[in-house]
Amino acid sequence: MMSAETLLHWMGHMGAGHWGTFRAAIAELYSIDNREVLSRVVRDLRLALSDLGHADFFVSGSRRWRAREPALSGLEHEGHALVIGGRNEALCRTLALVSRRVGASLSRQSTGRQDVERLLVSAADNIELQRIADEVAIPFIPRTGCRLAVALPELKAEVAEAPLIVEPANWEVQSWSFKMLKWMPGRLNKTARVYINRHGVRWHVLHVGRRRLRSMDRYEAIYAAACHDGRHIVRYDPVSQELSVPGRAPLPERYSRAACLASGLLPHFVDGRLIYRGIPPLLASILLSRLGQPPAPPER
Amino acid sequence: MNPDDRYLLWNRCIVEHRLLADTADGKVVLAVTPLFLSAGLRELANELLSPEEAENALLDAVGRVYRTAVAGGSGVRELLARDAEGVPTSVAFLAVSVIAAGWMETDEKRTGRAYYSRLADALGVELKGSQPLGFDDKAFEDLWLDLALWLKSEHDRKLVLPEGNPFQRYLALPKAHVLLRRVDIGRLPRFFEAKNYAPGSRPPLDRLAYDLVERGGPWSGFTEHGRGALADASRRALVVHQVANELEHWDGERTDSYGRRVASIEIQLMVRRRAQVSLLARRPPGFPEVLEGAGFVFESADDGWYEEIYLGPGDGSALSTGLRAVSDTEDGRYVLQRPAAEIIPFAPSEEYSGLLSDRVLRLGASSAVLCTHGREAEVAAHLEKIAPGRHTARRDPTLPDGWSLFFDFCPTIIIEPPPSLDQLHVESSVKLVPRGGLRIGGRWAWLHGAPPALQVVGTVRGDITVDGNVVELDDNQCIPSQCISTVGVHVVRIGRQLRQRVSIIEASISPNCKGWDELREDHTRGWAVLPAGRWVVVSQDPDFRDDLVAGRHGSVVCLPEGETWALAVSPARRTRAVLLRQAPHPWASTPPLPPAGRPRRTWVRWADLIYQVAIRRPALDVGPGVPTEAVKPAWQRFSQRARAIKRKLRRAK
Repeated sequence: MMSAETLLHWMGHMGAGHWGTFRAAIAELYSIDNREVLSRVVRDLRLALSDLGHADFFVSGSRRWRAREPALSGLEHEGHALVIGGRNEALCRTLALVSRRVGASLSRQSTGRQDVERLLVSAADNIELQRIADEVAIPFIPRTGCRLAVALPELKAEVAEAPLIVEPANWEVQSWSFKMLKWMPGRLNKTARVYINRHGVRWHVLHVGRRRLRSMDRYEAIYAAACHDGRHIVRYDPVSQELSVPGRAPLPERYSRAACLASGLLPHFVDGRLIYRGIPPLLASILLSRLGQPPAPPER
Repeated sequence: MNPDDRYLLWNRCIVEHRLLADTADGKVVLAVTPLFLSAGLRELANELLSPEEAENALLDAVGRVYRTAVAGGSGVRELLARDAEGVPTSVAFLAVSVIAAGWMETDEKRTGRAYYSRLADALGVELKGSQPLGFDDKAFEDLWLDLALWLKSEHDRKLVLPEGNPFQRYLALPKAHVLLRRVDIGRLPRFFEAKNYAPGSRPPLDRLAYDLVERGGPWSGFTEHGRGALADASRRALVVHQVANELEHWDGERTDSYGRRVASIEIQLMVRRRAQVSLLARRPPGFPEVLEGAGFVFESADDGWYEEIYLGPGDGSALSTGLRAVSDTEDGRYVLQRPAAEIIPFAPSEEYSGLLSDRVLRLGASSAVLCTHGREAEVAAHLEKIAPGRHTARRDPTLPDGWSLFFDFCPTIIIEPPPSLDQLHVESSVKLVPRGGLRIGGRWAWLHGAPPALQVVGTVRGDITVDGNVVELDDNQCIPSQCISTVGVHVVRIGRQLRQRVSIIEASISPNCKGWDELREDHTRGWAVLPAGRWVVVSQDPDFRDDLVAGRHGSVVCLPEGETWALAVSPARRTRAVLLRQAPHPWASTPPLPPAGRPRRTWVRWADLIYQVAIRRPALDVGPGVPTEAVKPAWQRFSQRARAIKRKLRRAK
């Protein structure tokens, strides 16, 4: 069995855990000794598992992860769904059996991210998908990507509710530069910042003026700053249905998941930008609206 | 889990971890303590309860079964049975009878001789006469004798029973198993701390015996009863075994003189290219999720520990002067503590990967020692005596300032160290150290497909068996992983020194996985995004209308059933009509009238609005995902329909 599959089985069985155990599990499964390599692999897997709806990480700002319940996640393309959430051998076997019986197919496909595989169910239509889900006793969620996007709050509202914090003393500080599209040492105003102490603990904040800082997720802070300044950092092409963002400023996790579960595809890098493929215009509009970005150009 | 299942779980726990664990020359004592119960439950069922909670849970389960049995008329004789695996079902009940005997100390209400009233309390029943309601002396004795017979015939073990014909023979049965009373059990952590025993360790019994009795008489911290038990040659070995068992399950927690709960901070050592040292604080049940102090923030991790905190070059003094983080809250008072040290030995741990700080070095185990620069020479000289070969200290830049590391040596010789190097005493107790695998929950449970390698460390006396089959260790002193690769419980025995259950578990889906409830709504809903401005959203259902103002970045709207439009009527700007969703089905050719009982006003408003927009020749547009060519014919149809309904309403007046 692939290491990523074993990791998924473990996470589904545990249900929830601490970040440290997630890292340790990956070090064990992938036999990684080198700390830099481990950090890279951990990051890749975390993003892939989050984007594909298998688990949430850093739940409520803590250092914990939590697996999701198994479900069939309907893609925008009718009749197709990904198996998301936790899974185990028994679930996979049952899904395969039931799919075959109704004339659908279950296939394992590489995602291109480490050895993470996606399980794709292809049926005649969503009614058949619902039947499969009912027999396996898991939920079927049509158009999961759009539903997730609609459920997202507006970033502006998130900023207003984010807690105000006092700048920590004697911590290293870095700021997000829209000009350079990367993190720079020092304080820049009205942008995202990260404070790092000598033990490696990080606090991500949004500088909102004067000495006021709001505690936020790292990437949500970047996009909130972009919204506030009217900066256009997300691009959407309605013809190719590709949505792209700066490579060092990926979509915040919840938004990224909505984008990935629309098409079932993980994003990939091209020329320094992160490309999300298969994003229908409606979903793109919703994401852009929620992110406070200018609307998508019309389809012509 | 119904009460019977809960009872059987406890029954199993006590059998596995007490009756079938290590013995004192084949003799077994049914003495259970809160700490033992907490550790046993965690091992067997991956449930985390504090020692007090665990004891209460046992009393609760046994009391329920007892009361049910009494109410049913059969009484405790009902427990003269076997479970599905052939194990006597009386064990949990008999253990509670021993707990009650351990409570026999004079208090405000009763003398130290009052047993049955205490048993009644434990079982949650009233006294009837001088005994608990429904109690049957003879049945009680039969349960003990049955258990003794089973232990002898199935496992060649001797259950301790009163000898001869003692006075109060029924009371003598549980009393024979009370070696140390509750108050003495409660003092054991102080003993362990004072004698420098590492939590969870399995030291040689002769060392324990020496510290408990032989060094200068029975340990003075015990009560008179405890000292008496140790002084009694016929019971000493059993007491030492009981203390050894408590130590094995001890998580390092103790209570200080201020009544604060104290847990220890260990040091974890990982060496890849460079050495990395971390603080690893234990987190017993009930300790706060976050504990700050001594310049560190300890955040809860999994399974009885706080998250590791990396120590860098600037943290040298934290190791040498010690650490103490105190939390005084409304919920309690807690301390995390690490003593000052100049020398710290490391050994493989059963609980954590890498090496963990220990109180001694372990014979035959790959070990390490951290010491201050000033102690380097004498440590090196001693290591050369106990682990032949030259030992050079490392001063990695990643180590705390002022500290050096001796790494990757294996003590093979036991000699008494000089007093200044007492921490480098080599102990020969056997240990089973799991390496790798994916642990799930309990200390000795792993995921099927990712089992650990089990390394045997220390001096082995006797055969090593897995599930009764003798096994040979590999070159790394590990039990071959294929021996424990299948799903199920595997029992590893090392002579008579160690018995350990190892569970390999097939993955299931945890009920703790978060659901998708937030997304499971009406499946026919659609959405659209409106650009900035004032809008009225209408559909082919005249009863629907939604007035809204979309902000600078647009607004997401949920669509009703059917064809839906967003209309903007503005004196200053050009009127607009945006098709948000096409009609999924062709409209009925005859426009309807409002159903009986529905107000005509909403229909009139609907028709008027569309008419007003239509006569202004609005700019037509489509929402995302709607084909542009659809908008003109759709608007024509929509506005004509509105006109038709308006005419009908007027005629119907």
